[in-house]
Amino acid sequence: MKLNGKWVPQGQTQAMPFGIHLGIGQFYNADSTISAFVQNYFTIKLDKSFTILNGQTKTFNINMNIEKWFEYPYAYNFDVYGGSIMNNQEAQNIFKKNGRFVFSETVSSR
Amino acid sequence: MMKVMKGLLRLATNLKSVHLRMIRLICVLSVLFIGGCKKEKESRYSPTPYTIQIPKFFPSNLNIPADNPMTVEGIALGRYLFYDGRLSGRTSPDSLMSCCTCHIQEYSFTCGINNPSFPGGMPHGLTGIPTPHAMMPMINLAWNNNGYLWNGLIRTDNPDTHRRNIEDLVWMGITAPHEMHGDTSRTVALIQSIPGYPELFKKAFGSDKVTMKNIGKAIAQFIRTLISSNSRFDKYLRGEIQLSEQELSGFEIFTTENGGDCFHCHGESGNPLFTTNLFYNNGKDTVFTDTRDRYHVTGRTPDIGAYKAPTLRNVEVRGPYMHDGRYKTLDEVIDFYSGKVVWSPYINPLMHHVATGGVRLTSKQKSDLKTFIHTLRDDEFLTNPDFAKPASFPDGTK
Repeated sequence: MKLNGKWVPQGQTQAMPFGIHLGIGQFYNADSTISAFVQNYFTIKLDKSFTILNGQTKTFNINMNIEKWFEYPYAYNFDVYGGSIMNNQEAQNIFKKNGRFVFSETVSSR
Repeated sequence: MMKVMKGLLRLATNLKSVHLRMIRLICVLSVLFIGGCKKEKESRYSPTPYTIQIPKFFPSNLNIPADNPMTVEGIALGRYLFYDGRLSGRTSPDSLMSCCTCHIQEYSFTCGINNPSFPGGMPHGLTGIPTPHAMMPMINLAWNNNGYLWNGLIRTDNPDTHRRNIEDLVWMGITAPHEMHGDTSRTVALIQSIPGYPELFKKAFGSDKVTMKNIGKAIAQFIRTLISSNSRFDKYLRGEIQLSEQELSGFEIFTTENGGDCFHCHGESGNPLFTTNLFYNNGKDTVFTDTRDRYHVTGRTPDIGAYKAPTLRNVEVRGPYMHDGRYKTLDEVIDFYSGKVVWSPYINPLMHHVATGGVRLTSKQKSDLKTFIHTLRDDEFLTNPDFAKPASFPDGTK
Protein backbone atom coordinates (compact mmCIF):
# COMPACT_ATOMS: atom_id res chain seq x y z
CA MET A 1 0.00 0.00 0.00
CA LYS A 2 1.37 3.39 -0.96
CA LEU A 3 -0.16 6.71 -0.02
CA ASN A 4 1.86 9.75 -1.04
CA GLY A 5 0.88 13.27 -0.11
CA LYS A 6 1.56 16.32 2.05
CA TRP A 7 0.92 17.15 5.74
CA VAL A 8 1.30 20.35 7.73
CA PRO A 9 3.37 19.93 10.92
CA GLN A 10 1.97 21.49 14.05
CA GLY A 11 2.86 25.15 14.35
CA GLN A 12 4.01 25.39 10.75
CA THR A 13 2.47 26.51 7.51
CA GLN A 14 4.53 24.62 4.97
CA ALA A 15 3.08 21.32 3.80
CA MET A 16 5.68 18.60 4.13
CA PRO A 17 5.85 15.48 1.97
CA PHE A 18 4.90 12.04 3.16
CA GLY A 19 5.15 8.60 1.63
CA ILE A 20 3.24 6.05 3.71
CA HIS A 21 4.30 2.70 2.30
CA LEU A 22 3.08 -0.37 4.12
CA GLY A 23 5.10 -3.50 3.55
CA ILE A 24 7.59 -5.79 5.22
CA GLY A 25 8.79 -4.21 8.46
CA GLN A 26 11.94 -4.75 10.47
CA PHE A 27 13.01 -4.90 14.09
CA TYR A 28 16.44 -3.59 14.89
CA ASN A 29 19.23 -4.47 17.29
CA ALA A 30 20.88 -1.82 19.41
CA ASP A 31 23.62 -1.45 16.77
CA SER A 32 20.96 -0.74 14.09
CA THR A 33 21.34 -4.11 12.41
CA ILE A 34 18.11 -5.91 11.57
CA SER A 35 17.07 -8.54 14.10
CA ALA A 36 13.86 -9.73 12.45
CA PHE A 37 11.47 -9.04 9.60
CA VAL A 38 7.72 -8.57 10.09
CA GLN A 39 5.03 -9.38 7.56
CA ASN A 40 2.51 -6.57 7.67
CA TYR A 41 -0.06 -7.99 5.32
CA PHE A 42 -3.55 -8.68 6.56
CA THR A 43 -6.73 -10.35 5.33
CA ILE A 44 -10.07 -8.63 5.02
CA LYS A 45 -13.38 -10.45 4.65
CA LEU A 46 -16.15 -8.44 3.09
CA ASP A 47 -19.15 -10.27 4.45
CA LYS A 48 -21.88 -9.24 2.08
CA SER A 49 -23.11 -12.38 0.39
CA PHE A 50 -24.74 -12.24 -2.99
CA THR A 51 -26.02 -14.56 -5.67
CA ILE A 52 -25.55 -14.25 -9.38
CA LEU A 53 -28.31 -15.93 -11.36
CA ASN A 54 -27.81 -17.29 -14.84
CA GLY A 55 -27.82 -14.39 -17.29
CA GLN A 56 -27.61 -11.80 -14.55
CA THR A 57 -24.82 -9.21 -14.23
CA LYS A 58 -23.77 -7.78 -10.89
CA THR A 59 -21.28 -5.04 -10.13
CA PHE A 60 -19.08 -5.47 -7.08
CA ASN A 61 -17.39 -2.29 -5.86
CA ILE A 62 -14.67 -2.22 -3.23
CA ASN A 63 -14.45 1.22 -1.61
CA MET A 64 -11.48 2.55 0.33
CA ASN A 65 -11.87 5.33 2.86
CA ILE A 66 -8.46 6.97 2.66
CA GLU A 67 -8.89 9.07 5.81
CA LYS A 68 -9.47 5.96 7.93
CA TRP A 69 -5.97 4.75 7.16
CA PHE A 70 -4.74 7.67 9.26
CA GLU A 71 -7.33 7.92 12.02
CA TYR A 72 -9.37 4.82 12.85
CA PRO A 73 -9.14 3.20 15.28
CA TYR A 74 -5.61 4.51 15.87
CA ALA A 75 -4.65 8.07 15.04
CA TYR A 76 -1.36 8.38 13.16
CA ASN A 77 0.52 11.38 14.46
CA PHE A 78 2.76 12.80 11.75
CA ASP A 79 4.47 15.00 14.31
CA VAL A 80 5.59 11.88 16.15
CA TYR A 81 6.31 9.42 13.37
CA GLY A 82 7.08 11.72 10.45
CA GLY A 83 6.34 11.23 6.78
CA SER A 84 7.88 7.82 6.20
CA ILE A 85 7.24 4.49 7.89
CA MET A 86 9.15 1.81 6.03
CA ASN A 87 11.88 1.58 8.64
CA ASN A 88 9.57 2.07 11.61
CA GLN A 89 7.60 -1.06 12.51
CA GLU A 90 5.68 0.74 15.25
CA ALA A 91 4.36 3.20 12.69
CA GLN A 92 3.69 0.45 10.15
CA ASN A 93 1.68 -1.40 12.76
CA ILE A 94 -0.75 1.53 13.04
CA PHE A 95 -1.57 1.30 9.35
CA LYS A 96 -1.72 -2.47 9.50
CA LYS A 97 -4.39 -2.23 12.20
CA ASN A 98 -6.28 0.66 10.62
CA GLY A 99 -6.28 -1.08 7.27
CA ARG A 100 -8.85 -3.57 8.51
CA PHE A 101 -11.47 -0.82 8.71
CA VAL A 102 -10.94 1.18 5.56
CA PHE A 103 -12.67 -1.09 3.05
CA SER A 104 -16.34 -1.55 2.36
CA GLU A 105 -18.23 -3.07 -0.50
CA THR A 106 -21.38 -2.52 -2.50
CA VAL A 107 -23.07 -4.96 -4.79
CA SER A 108 -25.55 -3.84 -7.37
CA SER A 109 -27.54 -5.55 -10.07
CA ARG A 110 -27.65 -4.20 -13.55
CA MET B 1 -15.67 -16.51 -108.79
CA MET B 2 -18.05 -17.33 -105.93
CA LYS B 3 -15.69 -20.17 -104.83
CA VAL B 4 -12.79 -17.75 -104.77
CA MET B 5 -14.84 -15.31 -102.68
CA LYS B 6 -15.88 -18.07 -100.22
CA GLY B 7 -12.27 -19.23 -100.03
CA LEU B 8 -11.03 -15.71 -99.25
CA LEU B 9 -13.82 -15.30 -96.67
CA ARG B 10 -12.86 -18.59 -94.98
CA LEU B 11 -9.19 -17.55 -95.00
CA ALA B 12 -10.07 -14.20 -93.46
CA THR B 13 -12.23 -15.93 -90.85
CA ASN B 14 -9.45 -18.33 -90.02
CA LEU B 15 -6.94 -15.51 -89.81
CA LYS B 16 -9.32 -13.60 -87.55
CA SER B 17 -9.70 -16.71 -85.44
CA VAL B 18 -5.92 -17.13 -85.23
CA HIS B 19 -5.58 -13.45 -84.40
CA LEU B 20 -8.15 -13.68 -81.65
CA ARG B 21 -6.49 -16.77 -80.28
CA MET B 22 -3.15 -14.95 -80.28
CA ILE B 23 -4.69 -11.99 -78.47
CA ARG B 24 -6.17 -14.38 -75.95
CA LEU B 25 -2.79 -16.08 -75.55
CA ILE B 26 -1.04 -12.74 -75.08
CA CYS B 27 -3.64 -11.76 -72.50
CA VAL B 28 -3.17 -15.02 -70.62
CA LEU B 29 0.60 -14.66 -70.76
CA SER B 30 0.33 -11.06 -69.60
CA VAL B 31 -1.78 -12.06 -66.64
CA LEU B 32 0.65 -14.83 -65.83
CA PHE B 33 3.58 -12.42 -66.23
CA ILE B 34 1.98 -9.73 -64.06
CA GLY B 35 1.03 -12.35 -61.51
CA GLY B 36 4.55 -13.67 -61.57
CA CYS B 37 5.99 -10.17 -61.06
CA LYS B 38 3.67 -9.56 -58.14
CA LYS B 39 4.62 -12.86 -56.61
CA GLU B 40 8.29 -12.13 -57.19
CA LYS B 41 7.92 -8.66 -55.65
CA GLU B 42 6.15 -10.07 -52.61
CA SER B 43 8.76 -12.72 -52.11
CA ARG B 44 11.56 -10.14 -52.27
CA TYR B 45 10.15 -8.17 -49.30
CA SER B 46 10.42 -10.60 -46.49
CA PRO B 47 12.25 -8.93 -43.61
CA THR B 48 13.45 -11.12 -40.79
CA PRO B 49 11.47 -10.53 -37.59
CA TYR B 50 13.57 -9.48 -34.60
CA THR B 51 12.41 -10.28 -31.10
CA ILE B 52 13.88 -8.57 -28.06
CA GLN B 53 15.02 -11.19 -25.59
CA ILE B 54 13.71 -10.07 -22.20
CA PRO B 55 16.62 -10.20 -19.74
CA LYS B 56 16.04 -12.03 -16.50
CA PHE B 57 14.01 -10.00 -13.98
CA PHE B 58 13.15 -7.33 -16.57
CA PRO B 59 9.52 -6.38 -17.18
CA SER B 60 7.84 -7.69 -20.29
CA ASN B 61 5.78 -4.62 -21.27
CA LEU B 62 7.77 -3.23 -24.18
CA ASN B 63 6.98 -0.01 -26.00
CA ILE B 64 7.11 -1.01 -29.66
CA PRO B 65 4.57 0.67 -31.96
CA ALA B 66 2.32 -1.74 -33.84
CA ASP B 67 3.20 -0.05 -37.13
CA ASN B 68 6.93 -0.51 -36.65
CA PRO B 69 7.70 -4.12 -35.80
CA MET B 70 11.39 -4.74 -35.34
CA THR B 71 13.26 -6.57 -38.10
CA VAL B 72 16.89 -7.48 -38.63
CA GLU B 73 16.92 -5.40 -41.81
CA GLY B 74 15.27 -2.41 -40.18
CA ILE B 75 17.75 -2.44 -37.30
CA ALA B 76 20.73 -2.72 -39.67
CA LEU B 77 19.48 0.24 -41.70
CA GLY B 78 18.79 2.21 -38.54
CA ARG B 79 22.32 1.63 -37.32
CA TYR B 80 23.76 3.06 -40.56
CA LEU B 81 21.52 6.11 -40.36
CA PHE B 82 22.21 6.62 -36.64
CA TYR B 83 25.91 6.97 -37.46
CA ASP B 84 25.80 8.62 -40.91
CA GLY B 85 26.48 12.35 -40.69
CA ARG B 86 24.60 12.88 -43.93
CA LEU B 87 21.39 12.40 -41.93
CA SER B 88 21.60 16.16 -41.46
CA GLY B 89 20.93 16.58 -45.18
CA ARG B 90 24.38 18.04 -45.75
CA THR B 91 27.57 16.68 -47.28
CA SER B 92 30.23 19.23 -46.38
CA PRO B 93 32.61 17.58 -43.88
CA ASP B 94 32.15 20.35 -41.34
CA SER B 95 28.36 20.15 -41.58
CA LEU B 96 27.83 16.46 -41.02
CA MET B 97 25.70 15.50 -38.05
CA SER B 98 23.77 12.43 -37.03
CA CYS B 99 22.44 10.95 -33.80
CA CYS B 100 25.92 9.68 -32.89
CA THR B 101 27.40 13.19 -32.90
CA CYS B 102 25.97 13.65 -29.41
CA HIS B 103 24.84 10.12 -28.51
CA ILE B 104 28.21 8.42 -28.00
CA GLN B 105 28.28 4.77 -26.97
CA GLU B 106 31.17 4.95 -24.49
CA TYR B 107 29.30 7.66 -22.58
CA SER B 108 26.12 5.61 -22.49
CA PHE B 109 24.92 7.47 -25.58
CA THR B 110 25.30 10.91 -24.07
CA CYS B 111 27.95 13.34 -25.26
CA GLY B 112 30.21 12.86 -22.24
CA ILE B 113 31.31 15.50 -19.81
CA ASN B 114 34.90 15.51 -21.07
CA ASN B 115 34.01 15.75 -24.74
CA PRO B 116 36.06 18.66 -26.19
CA SER B 117 33.29 19.37 -28.71
CA PHE B 118 30.75 19.91 -25.96
CA PRO B 119 32.35 21.67 -22.98
CA GLY B 120 30.84 20.60 -19.69
CA GLY B 121 28.91 17.83 -21.39
CA MET B 122 26.20 20.24 -22.55
CA PRO B 123 25.59 19.68 -26.26
CA HIS B 124 24.68 22.18 -28.93
CA GLY B 125 23.25 21.80 -32.39
CA LEU B 126 24.92 21.92 -35.76
CA THR B 127 24.50 25.68 -35.95
CA GLY B 128 25.74 26.28 -32.43
CA ILE B 129 22.42 26.65 -30.65
CA PRO B 130 22.63 25.02 -27.19
CA THR B 131 20.19 22.29 -26.27
CA PRO B 132 17.76 23.32 -23.54
CA HIS B 133 18.61 20.45 -21.22
CA ALA B 134 21.42 18.06 -20.38
CA MET B 135 21.34 14.73 -22.18
CA MET B 136 19.51 11.63 -21.07
CA PRO B 137 21.09 8.23 -21.64
CA MET B 138 19.84 5.88 -24.34
CA ILE B 139 19.46 2.72 -22.33
CA ASN B 140 16.62 0.22 -22.32
CA LEU B 141 14.30 2.74 -23.96
CA ALA B 142 12.14 -0.09 -25.29
CA TRP B 143 10.86 -0.44 -21.72
CA ASN B 144 9.87 3.20 -21.37
CA ASN B 145 6.10 3.43 -21.39
CA ASN B 146 5.92 6.80 -19.61
CA GLY B 147 7.11 9.27 -22.21
CA TYR B 148 10.45 10.36 -23.61
CA LEU B 149 12.53 13.47 -22.83
CA TRP B 150 12.98 15.03 -19.40
CA ASN B 151 9.35 16.17 -19.37
CA GLY B 152 7.79 13.18 -21.14
CA LEU B 153 6.49 15.30 -24.00
CA ILE B 154 6.86 12.41 -26.42
CA ARG B 155 4.27 9.92 -25.25
CA THR B 156 2.04 7.33 -26.83
CA ASP B 157 -1.18 9.06 -25.76
CA ASN B 158 -0.16 12.46 -27.11
CA PRO B 159 -3.03 13.98 -29.10
CA ASP B 160 -0.37 15.25 -31.49
CA THR B 161 0.27 12.08 -33.46
CA HIS B 162 3.69 13.36 -34.51
CA ARG B 163 4.99 13.40 -30.94
CA ARG B 164 4.40 9.92 -29.67
CA ASN B 165 7.51 7.78 -29.80
CA ILE B 166 11.18 7.44 -30.67
CA GLU B 167 10.28 7.53 -34.36
CA ASP B 168 9.08 11.12 -33.86
CA LEU B 169 12.21 12.06 -31.93
CA VAL B 170 14.24 11.27 -35.06
CA TRP B 171 12.21 13.80 -37.01
CA MET B 172 12.65 16.31 -34.20
CA GLY B 173 16.40 15.66 -34.13
CA ILE B 174 16.73 16.53 -37.79
CA THR B 175 14.59 19.66 -37.71
CA ALA B 176 15.16 21.15 -34.23
CA PRO B 177 17.31 24.31 -34.33
CA HIS B 178 19.31 23.10 -31.33
CA GLU B 179 20.04 19.78 -33.02
CA MET B 180 20.61 19.26 -36.77
CA HIS B 181 18.65 22.37 -37.75
CA GLY B 182 17.87 20.61 -40.99
CA ASP B 183 15.16 20.09 -43.55
CA THR B 184 13.70 16.61 -43.82
CA SER B 185 13.16 16.90 -47.59
CA ARG B 186 16.89 17.52 -48.02
CA THR B 187 17.73 14.61 -45.76
CA VAL B 188 15.38 12.31 -47.66
CA ALA B 189 16.75 13.41 -51.05
CA LEU B 190 20.34 13.00 -49.93
CA ILE B 191 19.86 9.54 -48.42
CA GLN B 192 17.94 8.51 -51.54
CA SER B 193 20.91 9.54 -53.70
CA ILE B 194 23.52 7.58 -51.76
CA PRO B 195 24.23 4.23 -53.44
CA GLY B 196 23.24 1.30 -51.27
CA TYR B 197 20.64 3.02 -49.14
CA PRO B 198 17.63 2.52 -51.49
CA GLU B 199 18.31 -1.23 -51.51
CA LEU B 200 18.47 -1.29 -47.72
CA PHE B 201 15.16 0.59 -47.48
CA LYS B 202 13.64 -1.94 -49.86
CA LYS B 203 14.84 -4.82 -47.70
CA ALA B 204 13.61 -3.18 -44.54
CA PHE B 205 10.34 -1.63 -45.67
CA GLY B 206 9.51 -3.09 -49.10
CA SER B 207 10.20 0.04 -51.14
CA ASP B 208 13.43 1.63 -52.29
CA LYS B 209 11.82 5.04 -52.03
CA VAL B 210 13.35 6.76 -49.00
CA THR B 211 10.83 8.48 -46.75
CA MET B 212 11.21 10.40 -43.52
CA LYS B 213 8.74 8.04 -41.91
CA ASN B 214 10.91 5.03 -42.70
CA ILE B 215 14.09 6.85 -41.64
CA GLY B 216 12.45 7.41 -38.25
CA LYS B 217 11.25 3.84 -38.06
CA ALA B 218 14.66 2.37 -38.84
CA ILE B 219 16.56 4.49 -36.34
CA ALA B 220 13.93 3.82 -33.67
CA GLN B 221 14.32 0.10 -34.23
CA PHE B 222 18.07 0.36 -33.73
CA ILE B 223 17.67 2.44 -30.58
CA ARG B 224 15.33 -0.17 -29.10
CA THR B 225 18.13 -2.74 -29.35
CA LEU B 226 20.34 -0.68 -27.00
CA ILE B 227 19.82 -2.90 -23.99
CA SER B 228 21.87 -2.95 -20.82
CA SER B 229 21.41 -6.05 -18.67
CA ASN B 230 24.89 -7.23 -17.80
CA SER B 231 26.25 -4.97 -15.10
CA ARG B 232 27.87 -6.37 -11.98
CA PHE B 233 24.56 -5.88 -10.21
CA ASP B 234 22.72 -7.87 -12.90
CA LYS B 235 25.21 -10.68 -12.44
CA TYR B 236 24.68 -10.49 -8.69
CA LEU B 237 20.92 -10.70 -9.14
CA ARG B 238 21.33 -13.76 -11.35
CA GLY B 239 23.52 -15.39 -8.72
CA GLU B 240 26.62 -15.37 -10.90
CA ILE B 241 28.84 -13.25 -8.66
CA GLN B 242 28.84 -11.93 -5.12
CA LEU B 243 29.12 -8.22 -4.36
CA SER B 244 31.68 -6.91 -1.92
CA GLU B 245 30.74 -5.98 1.62
CA GLN B 246 30.93 -2.30 0.74
CA GLU B 247 28.81 -2.76 -2.38
CA LEU B 248 26.17 -4.61 -0.39
CA SER B 249 26.21 -1.89 2.24
CA GLY B 250 25.67 0.65 -0.52
CA PHE B 251 22.82 -1.45 -1.89
CA GLU B 252 21.13 -1.38 1.50
CA ILE B 253 21.58 2.39 1.71
CA PHE B 254 20.18 2.73 -1.79
CA THR B 255 17.06 0.74 -0.95
CA THR B 256 16.11 1.98 2.53
CA GLU B 257 14.09 5.01 3.53
CA ASN B 258 16.38 5.63 6.46
CA GLY B 259 19.37 5.37 4.17
CA GLY B 260 19.72 7.09 0.82
CA ASP B 261 16.10 6.44 -0.14
CA CYS B 262 17.09 6.29 -3.81
CA PHE B 263 14.93 3.33 -4.76
CA HIS B 264 11.56 5.03 -4.79
CA CYS B 265 12.44 6.86 -8.00
CA HIS B 266 15.43 4.94 -9.30
CA GLY B 267 14.38 1.31 -8.90
CA GLU B 268 16.03 -1.61 -7.14
CA SER B 269 16.23 -5.35 -7.47
CA GLY B 270 12.51 -5.52 -8.20
CA ASN B 271 12.88 -2.84 -10.86
CA PRO B 272 16.19 -3.47 -12.62
CA LEU B 273 15.54 -0.68 -15.11
CA PHE B 274 16.78 1.57 -12.28
CA THR B 275 14.17 4.15 -13.10
CA THR B 276 10.43 4.34 -12.65
CA ASN B 277 10.35 6.50 -15.80
CA LEU B 278 8.18 8.89 -13.75
CA PHE B 279 8.56 12.60 -13.03
CA TYR B 280 9.52 14.24 -9.76
CA ASN B 281 10.26 17.63 -8.33
CA ASN B 282 13.25 16.47 -6.31
CA GLY B 283 13.80 19.64 -4.30
CA LYS B 284 16.57 21.36 -6.25
CA ASP B 285 14.95 24.79 -6.42
CA THR B 286 12.40 27.15 -4.96
CA VAL B 287 11.77 29.18 -8.10
CA PHE B 288 10.71 27.55 -11.34
CA THR B 289 11.01 29.30 -14.70
CA ASP B 290 11.80 26.45 -17.11
CA THR B 291 9.09 26.17 -19.75
CA ARG B 292 10.13 22.61 -20.51
CA ASP B 293 9.31 20.99 -17.18
CA ARG B 294 6.63 18.37 -16.67
CA TYR B 295 4.07 21.04 -15.79
CA HIS B 296 4.27 22.41 -19.30
CA VAL B 297 3.20 19.02 -20.59
CA THR B 298 0.45 18.13 -18.13
CA GLY B 299 -0.71 21.51 -16.80
CA ARG B 300 -0.89 19.95 -13.32
CA THR B 301 0.41 22.18 -10.51
CA PRO B 302 2.19 19.32 -8.67
CA ASP B 303 4.29 18.84 -11.82
CA ILE B 304 5.91 22.26 -11.56
CA GLY B 305 9.67 21.78 -11.59
CA ALA B 306 9.31 18.04 -12.11
CA TYR B 307 11.50 16.02 -14.47
CA LYS B 308 11.96 12.37 -15.30
CA ALA B 309 14.14 10.26 -13.03
CA PRO B 310 16.74 8.89 -15.47
CA THR B 311 18.07 5.36 -15.20
CA LEU B 312 21.14 4.96 -13.01
CA ARG B 313 22.60 2.30 -15.24
CA ASN B 314 26.00 3.53 -16.44
CA VAL B 315 25.39 6.76 -14.58
CA GLU B 316 29.09 7.04 -13.75
CA VAL B 317 30.10 7.46 -17.42
CA ARG B 318 27.62 10.16 -18.21
CA GLY B 319 27.07 13.58 -16.78
CA PRO B 320 26.59 16.36 -16.06
CA TYR B 321 23.64 15.47 -13.87
CA MET B 322 20.09 16.76 -13.38
CA HIS B 323 17.99 18.20 -16.20
CA ASP B 324 20.12 21.33 -16.38
CA GLY B 325 23.46 19.63 -15.82
CA ARG B 326 24.14 21.60 -12.64
CA TYR B 327 26.18 18.83 -11.02
CA LYS B 328 29.37 17.62 -12.64
CA THR B 329 30.11 14.57 -10.49
CA LEU B 330 28.29 11.79 -8.70
CA ASP B 331 29.74 13.08 -5.43
CA GLU B 332 27.96 16.39 -5.99
CA VAL B 333 24.70 14.56 -6.67
CA ILE B 334 25.00 12.46 -3.50
CA ASP B 335 25.87 15.60 -1.50
CA PHE B 336 22.75 17.25 -2.85
CA TYR B 337 20.44 14.44 -1.81
CA SER B 338 22.22 14.18 1.51
CA GLY B 339 21.86 17.77 2.67
CA LYS B 340 20.94 20.36 0.03
CA VAL B 341 17.33 19.50 -0.74
CA VAL B 342 15.09 22.57 -0.49
CA TRP B 343 11.39 22.85 0.16
CA SER B 344 8.85 24.28 -2.26
CA PRO B 345 5.09 23.77 -2.52
CA TYR B 346 5.75 21.50 -5.49
CA ILE B 347 8.30 19.14 -3.96
CA ASN B 348 7.38 15.52 -4.58
CA PRO B 349 5.85 13.60 -1.64
CA LEU B 350 8.65 11.05 -1.90
CA MET B 351 11.16 13.71 -0.87
CA HIS B 352 10.05 13.32 2.75
CA HIS B 353 13.53 14.05 4.11
CA VAL B 354 13.28 17.68 3.07
CA ALA B 355 12.74 18.84 6.66
CA THR B 356 16.36 17.92 7.34
CA GLY B 357 17.61 19.08 3.95
CA GLY B 358 18.00 15.52 2.73
CA VAL B 359 18.83 12.00 3.83
CA ARG B 360 21.85 13.03 5.92
CA LEU B 361 24.36 10.34 4.98
CA THR B 362 27.69 9.96 6.73
CA SER B 363 30.92 10.03 4.72
CA LYS B 364 31.11 6.26 4.88
CA GLN B 365 27.51 5.88 3.77
CA LYS B 366 28.16 8.19 0.85
CA SER B 367 31.19 6.17 -0.12
CA ASP B 368 29.33 2.87 0.16
CA LEU B 369 26.42 4.23 -1.87
CA LYS B 370 28.73 5.40 -4.63
CA THR B 371 30.45 2.02 -4.65
CA PHE B 372 27.10 0.33 -5.14
CA ILE B 373 26.20 2.74 -7.95
CA HIS B 374 29.38 1.68 -9.71
CA THR B 375 27.98 -1.87 -9.86
CA LEU B 376 25.37 -0.53 -12.30
CA ARG B 377 28.07 0.11 -14.89
CA ASP B 378 27.64 -2.24 -17.84
CA ASP B 379 30.86 -2.43 -19.84
CA GLU B 380 29.37 -4.95 -22.23
CA PHE B 381 26.82 -2.29 -23.21
CA LEU B 382 29.46 0.41 -23.54
CA THR B 383 31.59 -1.70 -25.89
CA ASN B 384 29.02 -3.88 -27.65
CA PRO B 385 30.09 -3.96 -31.35
CA ASP B 386 26.44 -4.29 -32.42
CA PHE B 387 25.83 -0.80 -31.04
CA ALA B 388 28.98 0.73 -32.54
CA LYS B 389 29.59 2.66 -35.75
CA PRO B 390 29.58 0.37 -38.79
CA ALA B 391 32.95 -0.18 -40.49
CA SER B 392 31.62 1.59 -43.58
CA PHE B 393 28.37 3.03 -44.88
CA PRO B 394 26.28 1.48 -47.68
CA ASP B 395 28.18 3.44 -50.38
CA GLY B 396 31.53 2.30 -49.03
CA THR B 397 32.44 5.57 -47.34
CA LYS B 398 33.78 5.46 -43.81
